[in-house]
Amino acid sequence: MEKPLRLIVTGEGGQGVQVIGKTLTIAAFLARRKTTYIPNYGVEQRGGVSVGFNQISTHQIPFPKFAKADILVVLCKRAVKRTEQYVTPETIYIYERGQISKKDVEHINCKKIGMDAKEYAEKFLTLKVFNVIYLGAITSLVDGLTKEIVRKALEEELGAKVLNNPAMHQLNFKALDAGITMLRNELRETREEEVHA
Amino acid sequence: MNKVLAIGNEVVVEAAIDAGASMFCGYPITPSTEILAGWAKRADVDKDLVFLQTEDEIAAGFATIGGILAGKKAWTASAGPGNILMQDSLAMAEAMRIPIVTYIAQRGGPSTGTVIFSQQELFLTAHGGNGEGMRIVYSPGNLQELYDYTFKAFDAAWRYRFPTFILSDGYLGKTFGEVIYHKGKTIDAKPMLQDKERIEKGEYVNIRNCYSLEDELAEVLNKDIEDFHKMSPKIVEYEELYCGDAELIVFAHGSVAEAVKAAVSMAREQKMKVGLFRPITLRPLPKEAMIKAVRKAKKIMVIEAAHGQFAKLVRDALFGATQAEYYSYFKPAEGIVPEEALEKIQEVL
Repeated sequence: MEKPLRLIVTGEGGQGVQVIGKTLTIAAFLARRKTTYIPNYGVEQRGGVSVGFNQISTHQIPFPKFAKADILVVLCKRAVKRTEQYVTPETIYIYERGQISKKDVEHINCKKIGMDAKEYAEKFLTLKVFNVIYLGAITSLVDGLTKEIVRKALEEELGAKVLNNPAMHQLNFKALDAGITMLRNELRETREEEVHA
Repeated sequence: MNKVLAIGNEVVVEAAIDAGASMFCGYPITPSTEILAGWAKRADVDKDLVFLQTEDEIAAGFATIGGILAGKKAWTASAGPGNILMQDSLAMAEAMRIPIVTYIAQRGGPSTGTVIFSQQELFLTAHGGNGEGMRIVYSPGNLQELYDYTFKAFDAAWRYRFPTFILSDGYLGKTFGEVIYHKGKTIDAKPMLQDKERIEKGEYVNIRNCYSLEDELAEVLNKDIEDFHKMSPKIVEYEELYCGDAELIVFAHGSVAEAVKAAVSMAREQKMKVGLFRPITLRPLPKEAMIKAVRKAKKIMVIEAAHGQFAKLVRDALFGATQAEYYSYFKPAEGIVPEEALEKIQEVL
């Protein structure tokens, strides 16, 4: 049985976690992959940690939830503890350095990549597209997803909000590009660190 | 055929419309609210669709019945505590053989519990009234089945005139994924009270819900029970996976059965002799097929997200038909993922 790629994105409610999950699902569908997305939607949706479960595969996906993640994206400090159970030594753990320190994730035993998306969004874009930087980061890790497909999916998910506002439209695309580049650079640096170590 | 990406609750609305539903009455409750909201949106555009948001689930159920008596293909949806309140009207529908379709999104209980997921509303849905549970209950396992069995529920309800349920759960209703919409044939709804044809013939239509004498009620009830048993072989549905040579047969239903299906496939890759039997109709239950499936099995196990509701049905159906050792894995109001089900299978085999 082909194992699907399993991905969790987690952060504070309002950080745009659901947009990342839904956009990835639309993108995977457009890329002719099998895909599912299920948010956790307890009453904490009214404020608290939000978790979204994505799966992408070339084969039928058996069940929308899963026990362990291949990629875990953590955008706030309290989501670190909440999602520890999904980590394996093979998990790629991406976290936001503007919210989570190296010490906060020191005990997480897997490949970790810190990103400065918050700082970048504030300096060069707008904080509103902070989540899209992470969508870009994920895009560069998922086989079969291209920047063009994810752009199309993003337009579909955000709809009129973006299409009727050319400035926001461009900011979202810039954030996507920034995320792709940022993750590639971080990966290169991690590799160099490993070589030097 | 139309392949789309949709959320479970949207799929249910689409299936109902494709099945010819023309009226929805309801009261919002997570995790079924998108059904009410989705129908309201459609009714805003399509003036042939009637929408009524009532003050609570008691009113929603009775308003739906009102619509059906007037000739609408009316339906409703609810969950958890809402399902409890709706039992009053659903028992009346059962008594009066009204073909109501109800979608239930199971959430954690008792009472308010969680808004997320469970399989704890099986008894309530199948036997919730003060009667004999003359109800048809489908338990879909994935988005495609959510469409297929919602569509089918309308056919079954209007064909056999028993209240019909789609017993789903929060996971299914909130899952965003691929589904194929494929319209089929539908049955037309006719007014049950103001039926012009019957009135012209001079027939007086009265559907009774209150009886003076014990034997009056018994006569009606026994006829309903007989009809239900007569209908059952035509309506039972199930899915079997690797049951032929299985030493262990796992029983599961709904989305939990999907997780078990994946677990059984993984176990088979490890040469473990395990099979899955999954009733799709929980009422009536495919009893004969269940007995046949376990004939050679040495062990049976029930896996469910409730503390033994489904297991009671399984054991009742298999009583006296097998000597197999019995195991269970109950996880009330919590999700069960394939890896976990695989672990349980490995422990038992």
